[in-house]
Amino acid sequence: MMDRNPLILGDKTYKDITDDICEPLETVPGKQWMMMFFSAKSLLLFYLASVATILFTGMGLMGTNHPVAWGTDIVTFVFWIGIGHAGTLISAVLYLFRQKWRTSVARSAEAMTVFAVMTAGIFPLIHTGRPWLDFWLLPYPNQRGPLWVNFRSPLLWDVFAVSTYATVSIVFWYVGLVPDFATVRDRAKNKIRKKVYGILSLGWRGSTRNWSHYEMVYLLLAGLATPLVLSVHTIVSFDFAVASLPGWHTTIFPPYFVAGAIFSGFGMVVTLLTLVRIGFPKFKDYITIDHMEVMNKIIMCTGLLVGYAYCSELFIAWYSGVKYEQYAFINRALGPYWWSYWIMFSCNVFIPQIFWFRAARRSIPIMFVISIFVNIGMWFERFVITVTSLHRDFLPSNWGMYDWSIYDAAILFGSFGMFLTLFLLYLRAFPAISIAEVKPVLYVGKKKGGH
Amino acid sequence: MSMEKQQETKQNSYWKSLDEKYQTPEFIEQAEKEFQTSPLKEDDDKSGLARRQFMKLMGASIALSSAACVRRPVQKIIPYNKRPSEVIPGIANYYASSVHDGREGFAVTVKTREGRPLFLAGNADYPGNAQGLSARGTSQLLSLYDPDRVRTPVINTQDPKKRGNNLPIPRDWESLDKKVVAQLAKGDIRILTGETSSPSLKNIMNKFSQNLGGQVHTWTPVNESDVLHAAELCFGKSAVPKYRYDKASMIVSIDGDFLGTYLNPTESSRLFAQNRNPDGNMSRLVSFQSVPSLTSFNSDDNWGIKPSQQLPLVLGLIHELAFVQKKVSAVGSIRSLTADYAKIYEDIGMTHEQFAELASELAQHQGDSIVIAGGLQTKTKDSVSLQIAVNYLNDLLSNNGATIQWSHGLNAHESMDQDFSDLLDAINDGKVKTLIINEINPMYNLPNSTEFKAALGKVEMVVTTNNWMDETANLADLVAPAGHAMENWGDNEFEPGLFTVQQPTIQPLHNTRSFGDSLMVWSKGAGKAVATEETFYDFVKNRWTSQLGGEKAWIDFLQKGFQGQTYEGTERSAGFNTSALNNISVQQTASPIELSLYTKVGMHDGTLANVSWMQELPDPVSKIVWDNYLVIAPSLADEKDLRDGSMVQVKTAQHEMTLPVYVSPGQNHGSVAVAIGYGRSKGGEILKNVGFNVQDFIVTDNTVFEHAGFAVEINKTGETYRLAQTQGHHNMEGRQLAVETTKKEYKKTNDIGLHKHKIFSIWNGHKYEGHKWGLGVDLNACTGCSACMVACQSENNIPVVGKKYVLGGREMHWIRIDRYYSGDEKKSVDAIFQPVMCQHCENAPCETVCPVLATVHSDEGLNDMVYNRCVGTRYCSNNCPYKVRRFNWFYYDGHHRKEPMHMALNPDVTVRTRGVMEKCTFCVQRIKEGKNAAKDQNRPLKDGDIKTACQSVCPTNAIVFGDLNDKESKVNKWFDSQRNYTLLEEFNAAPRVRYLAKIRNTPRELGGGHHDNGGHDSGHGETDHKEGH
Repeated sequence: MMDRNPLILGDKTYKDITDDICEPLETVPGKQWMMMFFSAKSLLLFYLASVATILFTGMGLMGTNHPVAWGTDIVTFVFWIGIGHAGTLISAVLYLFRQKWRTSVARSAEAMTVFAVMTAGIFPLIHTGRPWLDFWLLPYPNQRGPLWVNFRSPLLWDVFAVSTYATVSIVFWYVGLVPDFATVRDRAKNKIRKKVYGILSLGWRGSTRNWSHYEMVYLLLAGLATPLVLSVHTIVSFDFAVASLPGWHTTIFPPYFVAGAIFSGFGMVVTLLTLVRIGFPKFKDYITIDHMEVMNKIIMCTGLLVGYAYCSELFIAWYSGVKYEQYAFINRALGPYWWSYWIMFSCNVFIPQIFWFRAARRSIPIMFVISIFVNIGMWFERFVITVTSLHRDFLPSNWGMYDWSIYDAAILFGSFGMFLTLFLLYLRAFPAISIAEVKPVLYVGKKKGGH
Repeated sequence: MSMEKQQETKQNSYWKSLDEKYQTPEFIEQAEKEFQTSPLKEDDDKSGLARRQFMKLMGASIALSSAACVRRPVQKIIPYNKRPSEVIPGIANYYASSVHDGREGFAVTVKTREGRPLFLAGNADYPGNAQGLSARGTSQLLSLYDPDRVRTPVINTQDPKKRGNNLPIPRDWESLDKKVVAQLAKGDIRILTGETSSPSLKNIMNKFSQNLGGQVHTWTPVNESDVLHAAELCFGKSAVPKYRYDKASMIVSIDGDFLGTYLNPTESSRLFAQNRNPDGNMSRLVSFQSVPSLTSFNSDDNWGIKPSQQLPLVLGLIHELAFVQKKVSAVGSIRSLTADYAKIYEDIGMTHEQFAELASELAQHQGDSIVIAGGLQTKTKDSVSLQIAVNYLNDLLSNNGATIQWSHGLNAHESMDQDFSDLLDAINDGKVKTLIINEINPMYNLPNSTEFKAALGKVEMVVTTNNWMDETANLADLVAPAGHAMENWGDNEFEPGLFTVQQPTIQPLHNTRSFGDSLMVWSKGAGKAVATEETFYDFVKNRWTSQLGGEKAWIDFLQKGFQGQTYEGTERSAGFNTSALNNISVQQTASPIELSLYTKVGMHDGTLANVSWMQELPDPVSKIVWDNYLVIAPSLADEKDLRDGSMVQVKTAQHEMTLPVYVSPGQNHGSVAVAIGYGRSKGGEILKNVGFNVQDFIVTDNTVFEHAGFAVEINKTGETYRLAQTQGHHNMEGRQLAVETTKKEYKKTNDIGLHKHKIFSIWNGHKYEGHKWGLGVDLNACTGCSACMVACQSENNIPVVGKKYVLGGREMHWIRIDRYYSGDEKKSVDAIFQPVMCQHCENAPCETVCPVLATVHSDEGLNDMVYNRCVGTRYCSNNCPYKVRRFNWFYYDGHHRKEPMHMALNPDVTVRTRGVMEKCTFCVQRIKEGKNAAKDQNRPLKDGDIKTACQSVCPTNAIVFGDLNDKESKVNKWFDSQRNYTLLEEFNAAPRVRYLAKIRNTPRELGGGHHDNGGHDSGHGETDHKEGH
């Protein structure tokens, strides 16, 4: 067996681990956190105000128009849904594959999933013309005559896919948190804290029976969550692939979307964890450079997959012989939105190639910058798919441009406010690293001691 | 209360209250009211929180708290207490009437519902415009309901010497009449009226000026002085001819935009289309244009020219015909003049072969050809010479009397610039004490150089009948609003011997009085009554009853809407007076770049500037809304480094201003043009800050108004301006969309050269047992006039969104007219128009993707849109390959419809709230109406019973709607035509709309368009940036 670096640095004892991880929950937040929180919260309030203005006045404030009927809302929805994928992949798929390095990052990645799905979920709701009637998309017995939903519509599949994903992710995340909540409860020195965490820990006593049930549920949920990694983004891609628009109507979309989602998800995990390492220096022992390097490898790999998909699209457009399809792709690369296509291509395919160098993979500043590029690139990927396909389709007389407005910008950036606020609160309220899962891997890769 | 009164009231043996018993004034007032609180005046805020208002507020607050963001319009339902006998709620009544759109007169049928006019269409039996009605004609409806109309007589308080700083004070008619009558006693009265074709009104006006000592001046800003003058010289009688395009096989237009803006475009389009049958007689149209127009776009061949080349071109043609080819014999004396222009074709970019061919084609069609020139673009220094030359050329070709009716021409074109000049002279000589201006707006339409405003200071009293507080009304002392033509009685004679009646279809909405009535009242007040009758209605009625012989005939006239018919015989040739040729002189010198003014189809002279439908009607040529602009050639744009929207400094000897540029293919390099009718400053909310006022480019000595051929300097300023264009791209990109072929090809192959796709399906599709609706569009007949767009807007309550949102790509028209170019845009381009509405696909892509089933298929094959089910995901629009769906981005109806505009709403069509998708329904309400009518009469539905709104105003019958299950239906025949094709056939959406390909009657090969093989790249780079809307 190959020697590997220890997963946890600094010769920790079990108590050290518990102390380290519980520290953010039990101390008064520092200046850094406060500053980040207040800026995130301000952004969130700004987001809420923008959404309220749009709801009150009408969708017309956004840049969507004729022919580009879907814009920032859908682009950003797909972007956030994609972000979520890394969490599920790390916590469920890697768990099933018994990847021990996942333990340090799984909790935060999952939290990111949950918050990203929450952020994403708002977009399809507010992008409709009459958001107060969105519940009509749910198939439930009603008194509106024989009216029922249209099961042929990919948007409806979306409703199911996203809601299932959100539910499973939250349950999976919560179940994993139960033993840690119990730890926090047991350490609590004040009554309210004890009560709150007592309720959250669902009466966990740490008995063998508890552990045995827990392990089983966790395994089952991991099994349940794994297909979702593939299915959710497959179905999101159906919104496009099932439509008949040139540039949308392609069979490569499901795998291409899934690869892209994992790619962007890992990008976001790297972004967040570099920040966590800065915010909580003690976490550097748990979230080590080795962890980051593994994730960077995945980013590079999925980046290549995405690059393959881009090229494949171009080839198939040419090979199909359909002139509308051909035009759609020529237009993407060379039309008025050429810059978005090349931002996408550079950020997603070219820039991650730096990770071929080990030094780059292990450099925090480099990986942080690259992960930001990946996030930008993946937003533009969805922009390219949505907007450049719509803006020039079959009849040239309809061709037009997306009419980007300040509200598009407000909604896009505001959504980060929501996501970051939730994530920052999470860092202070929940153990950001799984105490229960880290302890068993304490001696992995260590020369002396261990099992 | 006096004892007497009490005595009387004691006779009431029973009383409900002491108030009643003593008949107090309060009681009497109360008793006369039917309702104690009026149900009509819910928002009478004098009563404070009245019961109804309280209930309303309660209801509203509950609704608001339970459904945030949902705003539903307050709806008032008022039942008839006693129903008028002819009104059945829910059933439309149709009245025959007539309207004039400022350019052309129409006999119309007015659809009314519960007493309010809702829709105008041509009177199908009328031999003039028939069913056709121009966009401007249809939009008369909205001008009737214009909230900015003057609602009462107005007295302006101002210093008459200065004619400014006024404060309009609304008054009643009595006080206004008193002032007018007192003034009239002083004599020296002049009436300045626009063109009117009403024999009764003319009669009244003439009697008025006779009785009270005055004179009538007829002047309209866009007039045919040059034609009238030339006719006088050539034939000894001033007249505007009627052109019989239906009898002509060869038509040459030199800036005569007879399909768009010149004379009677709607009727001309109808006549033109009659002789454009690809399977039968098909005329040929060659256009020379200094600004691209509907005529040049519908021509078989066209050349861009400069205004200074118009007259030389005609002279050159005469030379070629008479002295080179010697096919006709012209007087020898003209040779010296024409010889100078024998090689004019070189300047235009034609080869001698092409020019000779054109001449010999004309020669072959002696007696069945037309050469036409006219309109603002031809009003150069030489406009009269041009008309004389054209008349002579037509005479050489024996067209006068055959295809050009001089003795049976067009009325309502008798305004002369001379008339205006006489008036101005009279004012300046102090001979005018009272000036009555009838429904024209000289203060806007005249260039400042006429000093008309200064002259008005010398008039003691200016009275105007204008319906808006426009530029002229603001300077008048008194405004006596004449009301809208749809509120007033009248009659018209648009063609000699062809009379139409003008029936009001609604009580005057405001406190207005027709001009005829006003003249009658004033003359009576002055003791010199012009008629014995009490009202203008009685006058018109008596006149017609005596003329037609009886009350019954009058009723028949009202029902039918018209009397008499068009002249169908051949006139005796009107003997051309060759001495008129001595008046021809070429004074216009060619300049490198020449400016002309022109009129647009929608805006014309600016009278309808406050009608939002007209502002948002995409110009058929440029597809730009809410603006005028300098039209320049692509080559000139290259040379000066200009793009659409670049601002340029335009400088003529007369005037200088900055204008945005629109680069138009088909424009001559040396010709630039800008439309009049924009830049209005007063007269309503809508017309404010729209476009640029370019009237000051007009050069005038007050007798002749020159509109074209000015030497101009153009300099780029570096600024840009956003022009709102509804069409983003103007090239078909080699796709098979609007299909055309040449007549030669078509005759040879009996085919339109379509690339057909093999379509197969693994299932048989739905069966449509009952009706199966289909719609056909004949691209060969469609001239692009855009009347259908306004008709659709009127019928279907389609909102107007304004320039800002058209720029954002949010226009709402359910039917649009795509216009594609082919050919080399630097030389000459072909344009093709293609109306596109919802295609009602059998395999509708929109239906499968809607998550809530808000768009579904009916068993008659309609793609129905269920507004109240729509959540607004807009997925349907994304998946529609034709992109015909329109989304309500805002609550348009609530924000934009001021009272009484809401009265123009069609009650049969839902007014859409915000957040829902909408689109063409094939006028499902009309289908329902037709089916119900047939059911009531217990008969099967006949083909033609149901007409969609777009179809019902189309002058060329380019749209046909009907039942595809009816083997004999016209639409079925169209669907079987060799010319039929479906748009994006290979997409296999199986549309229920089919197009008939356009056939161009030209010997050359077509430049591009539907062929895959090259040519389609042209214009791409040029037009690319237009997408930025």
